[in-house]
Amino acid sequence: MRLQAVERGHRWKERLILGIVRRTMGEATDVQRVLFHRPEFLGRPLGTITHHAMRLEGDWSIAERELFAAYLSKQNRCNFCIVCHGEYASQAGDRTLAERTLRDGVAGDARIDAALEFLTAVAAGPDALTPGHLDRLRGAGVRDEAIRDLAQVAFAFSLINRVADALEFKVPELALFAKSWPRMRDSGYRF
Amino acid sequence: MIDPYADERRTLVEAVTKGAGHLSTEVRKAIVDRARGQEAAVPDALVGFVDRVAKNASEIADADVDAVKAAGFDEEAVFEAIVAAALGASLARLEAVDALLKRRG
Repeated sequence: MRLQAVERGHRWKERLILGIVRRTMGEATDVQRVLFHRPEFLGRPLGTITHHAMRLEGDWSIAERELFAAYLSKQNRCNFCIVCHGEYASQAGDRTLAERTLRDGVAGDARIDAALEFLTAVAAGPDALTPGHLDRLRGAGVRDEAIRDLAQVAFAFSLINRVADALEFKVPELALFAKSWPRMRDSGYRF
Repeated sequence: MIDPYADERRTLVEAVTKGAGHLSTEVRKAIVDRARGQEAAVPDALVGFVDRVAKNASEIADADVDAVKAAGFDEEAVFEAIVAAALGASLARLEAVDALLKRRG
């Protein structure tokens, strides 16, 4: 973590929460340090958006949404989020499929592959997004409501990927994300 | 089509651009707007840094952060600049999708 003020400058209530995280999980991650640093500034409002996009009812499964988060993170070269959400995608669904999709950029499913192409364009920048990306999603049977959900996943992770990279988040052992999955599955991203 | 995320996103934008902070609200809003691709008066010492956050965050090095701090910005201000730039870059992408959805919808 590049900024000490963000790594250690938490107020007493958030320090207490991070202490509980350390006791139960073994360590607190840099994303938790950032989200609990002045939580009214970034963590709480972004947590609400991320929770809505990643967990509330919709056409995409939780495993698919976690896979999208990991895939966009890979396009953005955000190592922390690739490892974290790659593991969550594996925990939520099929590990072989998740690993192969992240490695090859192809899932062999028209809906998911159209979404991956869309996310590649999101990572490249707003000008890379064309009507063809929406045509391919719609052609694969994805409703506009689900395109909006996908765009919101992309929004949340476009943001946190940049924060993670600018602050140089330390990537913990994979086992930590496997351990945190049951809580993330049941409680999600809101706090 | 109603955007079910609009209120949540407005809350986030207001928190980042209007909430308490070390950078002025004007500077935070200018960073968001610049990263969104709009004309905005970002202080010279921050321009290169916020552009990197928006366009090449994975290539940021310690020296980039050190240069901003050496220009007189404290760590909380650097944090706010990072978040504002990341928010602007993310909004630009969402706005592009929104325009496509409206065009066809």
